Amino acid sequence: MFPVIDWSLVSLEVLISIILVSLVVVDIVLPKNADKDWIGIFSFIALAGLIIFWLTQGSLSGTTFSGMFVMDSLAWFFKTFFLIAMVFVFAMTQEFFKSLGERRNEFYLLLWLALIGMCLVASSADFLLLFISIEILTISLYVMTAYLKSDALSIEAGMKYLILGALASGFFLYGISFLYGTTHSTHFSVIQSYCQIHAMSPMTLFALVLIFAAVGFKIAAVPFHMWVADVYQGAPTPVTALLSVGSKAAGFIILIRLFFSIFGAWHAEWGLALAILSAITMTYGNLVAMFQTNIKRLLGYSSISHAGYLLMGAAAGTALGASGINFYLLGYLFTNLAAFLVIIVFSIATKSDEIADYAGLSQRSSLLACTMLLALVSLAGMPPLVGFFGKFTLLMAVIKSGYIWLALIAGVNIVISLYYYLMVAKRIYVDPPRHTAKIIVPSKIRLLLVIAILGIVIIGIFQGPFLDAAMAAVQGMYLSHL
Amino acid sequence: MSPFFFYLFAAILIFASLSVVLARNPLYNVLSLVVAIFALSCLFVILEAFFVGMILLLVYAGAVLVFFLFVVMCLNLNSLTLTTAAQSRFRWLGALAGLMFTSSFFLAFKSFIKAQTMDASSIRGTIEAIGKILFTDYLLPFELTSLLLMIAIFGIVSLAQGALSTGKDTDNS
Repeated sequence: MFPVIDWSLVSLEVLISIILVSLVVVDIVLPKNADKDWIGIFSFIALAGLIIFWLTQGSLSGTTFSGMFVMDSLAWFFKTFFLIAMVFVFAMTQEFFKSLGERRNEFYLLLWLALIGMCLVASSADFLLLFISIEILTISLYVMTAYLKSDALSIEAGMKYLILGALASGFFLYGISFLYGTTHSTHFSVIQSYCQIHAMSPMTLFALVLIFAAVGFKIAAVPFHMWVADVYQGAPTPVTALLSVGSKAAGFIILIRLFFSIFGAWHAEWGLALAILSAITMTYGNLVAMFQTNIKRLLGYSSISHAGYLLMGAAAGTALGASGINFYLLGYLFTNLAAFLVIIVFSIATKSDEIADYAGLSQRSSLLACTMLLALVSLAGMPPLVGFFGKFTLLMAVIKSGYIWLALIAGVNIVISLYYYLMVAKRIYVDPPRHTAKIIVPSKIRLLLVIAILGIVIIGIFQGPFLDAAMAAVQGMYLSHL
Repeated sequence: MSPFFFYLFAAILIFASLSVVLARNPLYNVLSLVVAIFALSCLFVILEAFFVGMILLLVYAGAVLVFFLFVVMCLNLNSLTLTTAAQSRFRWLGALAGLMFTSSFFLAFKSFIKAQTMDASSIRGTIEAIGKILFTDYLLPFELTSLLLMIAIFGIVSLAQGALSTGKDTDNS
């Protein structure tokens, strides 16, 4: 019996696929010209159209493809998130490949494929579909990480990411096979109803641990963080930005679906374990970040510590915790991408990612310096910026769930992180510059920098509507267990 | 099907897998893997999953491992001195992690065997049954694998393309 397919639910994925295929055709038909970045311009227009289209589709909900593909408020929220993140990543890519004109077009195609992967992850309601979506995202990231073939660091990063990523995929499949063996299904709804009736057995515990290992790899939680620093440093900067925002958010949507719907009934069993992991992750990330001299490595370790903060929301196991994760990620999107925009402009102008070279940036470009300062301070969690309110929501969630010790550890961590974020800010504003040449910021990047700054400040001050959106995303979740 | 064949192929599988890990000559590693996959596909046939068994044999033993053999032969890895377990700094950590993993695996498996037995006849592994399921219930994941193949093509083309013009790239990166 052929399944009835509701095409309106998969409209975004279908549109992206159509764009992808037409870009391949454009790539073949149009003359190869290093100066004219056809695919980049085309991609930008297509992405703008997609965002406008997608913002009108907020009320979509339902399942299709025999219940495998789900469209709910959570999926809508995260797909909007991925589309916005992609605008920044495309702009970074355009800048980045101005100096490396070759092999630019395939990179755009891989970015589009990664976008499809992320959107599908957000909509998966079956472990089989989830696995394939994760692989679409991750394999395109492997290729993009190793993209600078002549750069040894990039190849090393790609290799490390590939090997550890393959290991994580293996864990994931192994975990799924145990779940399948126990529940005789890969579908979320069947597994959820199994979990509601049965207590946790060693078998399902084993499955849960294995699946969490794979997700922990994606979100860069300790002890699955080994790849982060090297990959963040070696990958082309647009890819690092995508990894730190897109790939992490994709991991967290899986986490939300796992812990707030499928395994929601077993909160008593996994809550404490997640809280401990969260504490270890944020402490490790912050302590190691203090000793970094490369800005991309620093943001790599800072990304580990932010995974720790975000895990607090999952450990809380309440609707407040889940919406805290959503809100925090929204703030993290603008904050982190602002930082990476500065890094990419700076590294193109100076060919350096060393923090020491950032000395006196305020005299070379006030916009870059100001953006970096705001991004760093928001990452550290200073009011009234968005990072503060995100951390506040998550702290409130864990305190309400009774993990006061975790909130205290998080508080200590926020103080530690202030130290190294402000050290970079001090270099930018206080130290004398090594070179005095002004850094010219292209107009498109300037526009995006302003958007990012507005995002950091406005979401920080007027949190209400954004927090409501984050809450609405959780409340309308498919198979919610809250 | 008599359990004799199951134990026979399971024993072959275990010994071949051990040989994959323990043999010092890379050529023997690969050839042991061929034997292991052959035994595994026999196990699938015993479970009446004919299609999976056949594909395993064709794709892995036939195509993938022949590639491995080519690579091993081309690179002439015989002379390579491999790091032994005793030389590794992390051997105790590795042993501990391995022990923990294995013991929890056994614990999990014991509870599984107690809890239920799978009915072999309920699994229909014929090509017809798999084809029906692929094009109805599992249509979306099946179609999406085409995207994976697309990534593989883009990846190989772009990464291999760079190798031809490394001289140009080094100036810029």
